[in-house]
Amino acid sequence: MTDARPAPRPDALEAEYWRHVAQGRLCLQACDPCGSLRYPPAPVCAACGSAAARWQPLSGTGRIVAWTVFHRSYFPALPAPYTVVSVATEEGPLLVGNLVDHAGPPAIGACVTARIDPATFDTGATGGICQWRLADPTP
Amino acid sequence: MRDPARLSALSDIAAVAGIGETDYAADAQASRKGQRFDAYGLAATAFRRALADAGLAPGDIDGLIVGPPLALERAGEVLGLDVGFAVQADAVGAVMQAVTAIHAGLAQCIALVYGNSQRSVATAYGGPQAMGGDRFLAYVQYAPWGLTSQGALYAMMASRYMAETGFTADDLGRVVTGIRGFAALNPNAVRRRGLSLEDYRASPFVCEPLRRDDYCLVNDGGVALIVTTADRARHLAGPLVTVAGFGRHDLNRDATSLRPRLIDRYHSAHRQAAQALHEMAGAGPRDVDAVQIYDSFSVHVPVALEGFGFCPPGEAAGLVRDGALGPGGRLPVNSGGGMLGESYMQGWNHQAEAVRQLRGAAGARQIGGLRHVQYLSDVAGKAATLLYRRQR
Repeated sequence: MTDARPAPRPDALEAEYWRHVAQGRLCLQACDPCGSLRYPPAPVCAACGSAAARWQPLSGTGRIVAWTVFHRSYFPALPAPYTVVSVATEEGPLLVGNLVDHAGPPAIGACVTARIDPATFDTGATGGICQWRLADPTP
Repeated sequence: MRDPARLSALSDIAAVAGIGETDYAADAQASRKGQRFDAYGLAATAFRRALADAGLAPGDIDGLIVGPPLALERAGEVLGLDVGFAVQADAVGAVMQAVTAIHAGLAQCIALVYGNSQRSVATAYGGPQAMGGDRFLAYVQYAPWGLTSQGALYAMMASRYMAETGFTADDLGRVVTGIRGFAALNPNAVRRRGLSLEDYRASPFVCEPLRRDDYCLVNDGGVALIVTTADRARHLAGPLVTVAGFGRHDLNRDATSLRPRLIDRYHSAHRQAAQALHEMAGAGPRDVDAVQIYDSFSVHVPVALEGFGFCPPGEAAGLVRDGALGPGGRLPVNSGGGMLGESYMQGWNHQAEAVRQLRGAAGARQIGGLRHVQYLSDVAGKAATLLYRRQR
């Protein structure tokens, strides 16, 4: 398992998020009564308290809010240097992912698009992982 | 909502009568030669020293506050204390709770103790089982993407902070060299070799833009404070240093998504905590002579200074470039060397240093003319602050 990533947190709601991703869909919970989107997955809506929600697909577009470049490798699937970004999705919630196909720090505010890449986890499970790429990769 | 009128009745009623710390520098040297330390043993050493400093005996203690990672009962067992008031709290929470317990009449002479053998036991601050992950989900939520350390979270805060404000890598370097300059004046600091800006620039990136020198120490140590009524402390030896005020405000909404950390830089919490302290103590940033800032990572320093009102938001670079923050500056930060240079006691060593400075007992690193030292922290978006006051 030379390319195994740390597995997601073992939690039933978290696993639903990853089940959608494994099927090629980036989805977040949308609260039924008030429409608020939430991440990470949670049992109730922090805005209105309702437990009723459905999984809503996102557009997959967003802007980089912050970044860090890891200069040491801690996991087989992530050789250094690798970049982690926080992305403000078009719909509002902030998501974290790797910025792929780009070396070095990106610009804050750069437009990115999501793509679900195949992933192997250190539990032996396989599935997908939502990653981000610059919408305009020209330097 | 807090009640400022009631809170102001707590101002200056309690004093720090005793401080005790372990030998960070000597123990770090012993660690390098293979010696292992016990966290409760370190706390016990600090407790004994704090009692001696206060001129008190274990029998005088009627309250116990224990800082994680120590367990409350085990600390009480090792120290031999059966008490009527006992809680667990972090450094600033411990002082706040001591003051409120004294005010409420729950106890009169409280031991606040902390010990950490993180170097001896090789505590993991990164990785999927990172320390703190049971309390702060962001520390472990993003493991599939290789983001599992607090350093990485602060690095992300730093990348955005620097882009938004024009705070440069050299500005961050000067924050570090200033604090390390104070450590060089402290015989008990682990890192006593000074650090130049050239050294800082050569320090390798860990989570860019943070470099190894932007990260605090990992070392073994213990700290203890004895907090009692101001009336009682007045009759003990040494200058009277009271707790003039405190404030706390927590940001929990959207915490795991990192929104408060990255977008707000915790400023809405800083402002609330600062205002609470100001109301309680009747003093604000203009009255503060020196600050102690929770510096697990260097970027805490400019962000806290802005949030707590020591300069306008986005303008900490001005303080750095004026030389205000380092030795000889008008707003010294972490006069003992903080956690970047003295010891990583999770805010506890900052309390001891604040009191020591206000007593005039800080030796080569003594700052002159002190009346107020304020402690600032904002770990994981829970902003907390204390004001210590020297009574004439």
